[in-house]
Amino acid sequence: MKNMIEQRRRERGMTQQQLAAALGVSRQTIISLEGGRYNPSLLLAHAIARLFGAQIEEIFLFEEDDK
Amino acid sequence: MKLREQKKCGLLWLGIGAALFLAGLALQARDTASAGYVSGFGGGLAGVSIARLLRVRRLSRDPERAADYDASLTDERTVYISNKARSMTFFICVFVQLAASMLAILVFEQVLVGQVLCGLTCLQGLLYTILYWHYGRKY
Repeated sequence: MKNMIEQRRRERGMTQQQLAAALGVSRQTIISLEGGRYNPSLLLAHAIARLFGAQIEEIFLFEEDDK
Repeated sequence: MKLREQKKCGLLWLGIGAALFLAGLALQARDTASAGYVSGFGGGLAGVSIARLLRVRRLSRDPERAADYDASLTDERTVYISNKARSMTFFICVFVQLAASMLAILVFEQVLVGQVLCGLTCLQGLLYTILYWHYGRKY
């Protein structure tokens, strides 16, 4: 699933490590999320959206092909 | 497991491995058949423990990396990957066991071995069915 995590992270001047620490996950998880290789759980998606001060739909771009 | 606990576990297993290794050497002096197994197992255990302790030492010098390592042990992606690997291993093992049981019976004429492997595979299938039912009701 495409997402805006990397863009939002860069806007805030955060490194992947800092974002991982803020969310309580590993840096490898952030790398996989930004690369679209891993879809987060609802809890993690909510935590990411809350950290960036946005709605989940603004961070994660659901497309029909994702089914 | 946190770094401190890993260090304690590492030291414990190193002690056990070293003790087994020495015990194996002592048994070898008495020309016991199992001496090689005991010392080999102990040596292997000690070797793995040393590698783990070296990793703990390296991580304890880098707090940021240590925090990342701690997070990686329990974060959801790690859990997802390990569950996926576990289920795929079970899936593959079922077919390997069935193939091995057929080989044992038809090629090597080891009927008992084939029967045991088949029985184990059936038990695994039954256990999977029961657990699937259980989790289906729970979730």
